Amino acid sequence: MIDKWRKYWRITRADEIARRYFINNSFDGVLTTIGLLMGMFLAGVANTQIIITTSLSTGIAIGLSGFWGAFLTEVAERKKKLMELEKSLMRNLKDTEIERASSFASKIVALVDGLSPLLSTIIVILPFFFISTIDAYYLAFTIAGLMLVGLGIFLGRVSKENQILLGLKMLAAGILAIGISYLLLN
Amino acid sequence: MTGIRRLVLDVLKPGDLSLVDMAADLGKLKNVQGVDIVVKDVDRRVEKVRITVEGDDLDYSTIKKRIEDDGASIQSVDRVSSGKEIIDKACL
Repeated sequence: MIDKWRKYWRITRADEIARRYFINNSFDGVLTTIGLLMGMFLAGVANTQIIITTSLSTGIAIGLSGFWGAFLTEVAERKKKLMELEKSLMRNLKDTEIERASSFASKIVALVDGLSPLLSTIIVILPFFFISTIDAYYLAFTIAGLMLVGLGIFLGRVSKENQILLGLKMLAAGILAIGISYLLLN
Repeated sequence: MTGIRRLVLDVLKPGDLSLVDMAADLGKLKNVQGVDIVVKDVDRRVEKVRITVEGDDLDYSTIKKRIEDDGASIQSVDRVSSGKEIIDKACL
């Protein structure tokens, strides 16, 4: 089974697009959660249940939006590619490894697209499950910052560019989100 | 041994399907002892390859099915060898 999946992965080159979605949507998830938490922090929300529920439902919504959008887009794009290939091969590709690989890639890419923002949100709000609300806010912002740096480093590894610089660029977006919220809402 | 011992096929395959996967899939078939795939032509989406399969008592329909299940199509059967001995210098 694993060998089959690896083969499908190679045929569709899904790793490239899944990686792109993973970084893009994890970034979305982290930034959205930062915005949400900053809003609640400035509004003085101290009820852990409200913070967790709001963040999680937002994470679920972003995840669902990512999954849905990516799945429909991937299916449409891959169908088009398959039809073009059928023309070139002068045959129907139904029930072939190529068709199965295409369907597999659409599902995996959509899952990555949907799960990455949701997981990011869960990781950022983890402190609210364990420590006092005010400490959890600070720790959640720190975790979010570290995640942004981590995503930048991952991006740097993929593109073989300066990992620290990319990490800092990602972090800058988080700081900007916090800064703008603070200036506008405080 | 009797039956088909060597098949040379002209195949059109999707460009995204790797030769390694294709050769490995064919190599796993019953009675197949050797597989050789050579790229003859490369297009934007497809590749024309020549597949040589050697073994004992090869089953053409199983090989055809395997190739087609991978999404490729056999354009022509260019050479078939059978019998107790493979004639390498056969006149074409």
